[in-house]
Amino acid sequence: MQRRRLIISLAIVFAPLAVVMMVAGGSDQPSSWNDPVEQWVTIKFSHKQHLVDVGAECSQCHAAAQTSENANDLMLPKKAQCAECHSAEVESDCMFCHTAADKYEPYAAPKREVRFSHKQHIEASQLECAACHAGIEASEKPSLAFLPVMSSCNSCHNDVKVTNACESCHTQPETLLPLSHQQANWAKEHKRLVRLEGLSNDCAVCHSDNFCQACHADVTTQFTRGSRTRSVAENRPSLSGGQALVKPRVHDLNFVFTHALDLRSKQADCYSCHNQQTFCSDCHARNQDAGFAAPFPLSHRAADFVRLGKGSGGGQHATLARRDMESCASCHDVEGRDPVCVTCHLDLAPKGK
Amino acid sequence: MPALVLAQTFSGRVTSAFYAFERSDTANVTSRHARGYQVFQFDYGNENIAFRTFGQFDNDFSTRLAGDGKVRMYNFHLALKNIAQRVELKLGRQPVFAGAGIGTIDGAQVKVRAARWLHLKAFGGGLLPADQRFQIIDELKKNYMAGGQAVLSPNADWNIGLSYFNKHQRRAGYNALRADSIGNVFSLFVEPSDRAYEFTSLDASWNVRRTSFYGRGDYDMIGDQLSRAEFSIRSEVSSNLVFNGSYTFRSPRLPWNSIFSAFDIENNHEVEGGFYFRHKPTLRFYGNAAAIFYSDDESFRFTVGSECNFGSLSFVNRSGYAGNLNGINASLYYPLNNGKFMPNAQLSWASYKLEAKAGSRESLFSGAAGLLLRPWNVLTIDSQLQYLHNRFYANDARFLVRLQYWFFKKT
Repeated sequence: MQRRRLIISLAIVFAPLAVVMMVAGGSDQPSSWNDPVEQWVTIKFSHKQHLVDVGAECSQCHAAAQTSENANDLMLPKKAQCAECHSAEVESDCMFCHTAADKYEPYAAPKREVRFSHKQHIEASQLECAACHAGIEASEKPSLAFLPVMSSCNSCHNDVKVTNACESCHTQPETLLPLSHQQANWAKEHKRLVRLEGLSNDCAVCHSDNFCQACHADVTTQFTRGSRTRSVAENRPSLSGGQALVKPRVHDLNFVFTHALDLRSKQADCYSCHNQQTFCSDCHARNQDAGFAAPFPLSHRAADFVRLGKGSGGGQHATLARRDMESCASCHDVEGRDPVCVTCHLDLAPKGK
Repeated sequence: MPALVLAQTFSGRVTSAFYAFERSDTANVTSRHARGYQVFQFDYGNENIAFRTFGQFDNDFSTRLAGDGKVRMYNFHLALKNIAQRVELKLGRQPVFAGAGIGTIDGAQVKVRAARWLHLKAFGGGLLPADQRFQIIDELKKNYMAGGQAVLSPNADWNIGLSYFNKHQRRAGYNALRADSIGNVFSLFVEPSDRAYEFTSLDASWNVRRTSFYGRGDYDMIGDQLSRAEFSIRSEVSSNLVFNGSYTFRSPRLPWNSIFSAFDIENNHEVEGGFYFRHKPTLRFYGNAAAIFYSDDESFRFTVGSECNFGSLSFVNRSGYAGNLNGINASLYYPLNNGKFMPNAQLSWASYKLEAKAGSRESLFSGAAGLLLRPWNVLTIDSQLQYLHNRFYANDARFLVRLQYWFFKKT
């Protein structure tokens, strides 16, 4: 029965995915940076023609960029600037520049959540426009593709040439959520990138090792010999300092009361962050009075939880142990010495080579 | 002769936090806590050399807890980069992420770009002592981890990783009260034997068009069995709609020398599927459902939610063997004055039964309201009031304040 349900579940999940894969094919749209793209893509404009064929300088059309100190400044040329060279066409033929006769509204200024000074990068850093707007000299039409992506910023903002602290550029680092992270189970999914660290892995653009250690630091820590009270979740502030209070927490404030549900339903691999078993036994096993005090599972109180004698089947505890041994191990961290099991199971020895 | 003078940089982030709360471990007995945390991160270096530190000091100014006043050191290492243009060497206390190998060590780690398509990594060192104390752990021969990884990337769409991980950990003894088979209680000093793991792992990912595949297998070399296998697909119908699905096989992860390894235990299987839809950049919806199949029972997980620029709302459900839970989580944060002020609030409510046979449902509530101030981009001040209500804490109020300062100097 279980096997049948498993197969049906696999079919339910993967059959639609197969269909999705066959029909998938939308265009690759880079992030718009909240720019009013729908407006300026209605213009016919070839950077290639102006920069390469005519030999114009960027500053001839984008003069505002020389002095701009705000990322929200609108630096697209106005009609009057086009008219300096194209006076006849501008006056007589709207469709010389526009793709649609009913879309003439003025451009809205972008609303960008970054601090950026064109002036500083041009004057102080002596950067050419193409250093950030790479490839624009070959573009034939307006496109998002030539707005710089963050990885291009990191060629300088790498904590060696210039700082890469989030706050140096982002006005609201607490609300940042990259496209790649926008999925229902990112906390679980991110390991596929981390475990492989392939050439496409760009975690380091935003995250240092310290960020990872906010979760993954305890996994190889020796068993704490401290008081049991230390183990009670304090919901202490994030280690890295880069994680803001407004972000969803890894565990919410009440998690200490509901973590058993996540453990048994395999919401995550607890041992990815916590020292397996020793972390649990800090609360669950140490200095408890023979298991008769909380935290004590309800299942253990059942009349048939333990049945003694050969052929008895062991009772409910045997069923639960077979089903989910990791759950047993979280409290009965015996490692071959604690007689919770060996009180009855006298004839057993650990496996292994 | 090349110039030997390189630009030196010194950067850091200093976070001071204060957290006040009251708690009760025993009925009618409460203790008040005012904990202070000082987190520091200082990095010094240049193009080819870096020295990194990251640590935390915490203490209680009201009711001291055992072990208070310790400095936890998470990072303290020297990194030598671009040795022969191919090698990076790290020495000291450092994090490790190398396929099956994960954790923090006091030791060495070397990364080699053997070729554009082949990256190698090897690491080894002692485990950290309790509380990440700033000292080398006792009995290094019994508290170590070591391993390595080779990642093959023939092109930007293919990554294949093979890793090896060996961990050995000495366990501290402890006193426990135990009952014999007829209920007689006796005191016992439990002296666990060492824990040991040895795994090899194969990871592979492949991107084709707008679909990515990922597979993973962990093999327990001591137990001589497959410990974990995973296969997942992520497919983008468009830039606004993503579907994902995965299958996971799990064998209980137990040390080979644990008594539990002697029992007849069953594996479990998990099937998960989900979607993510961006209605527009500022409004997104997601859903996720998973079924876990045990030998004789099942558990189900279900999540559905929405996010917008200024908040999120989600509903969570758990059912089956694992227990039953219905929960709602909401958060709201509204940046004002270009992020200089950000009031925020969070609410979380859940009704749950830890076991299917439990009689009545329990309910939990937690809420938080706070304000973030950033007068300058180098300084952030967070404050938050938290409130909990559950069967153990009828009215639990807490207060958290955090100051954060960062700097970057170049000479």
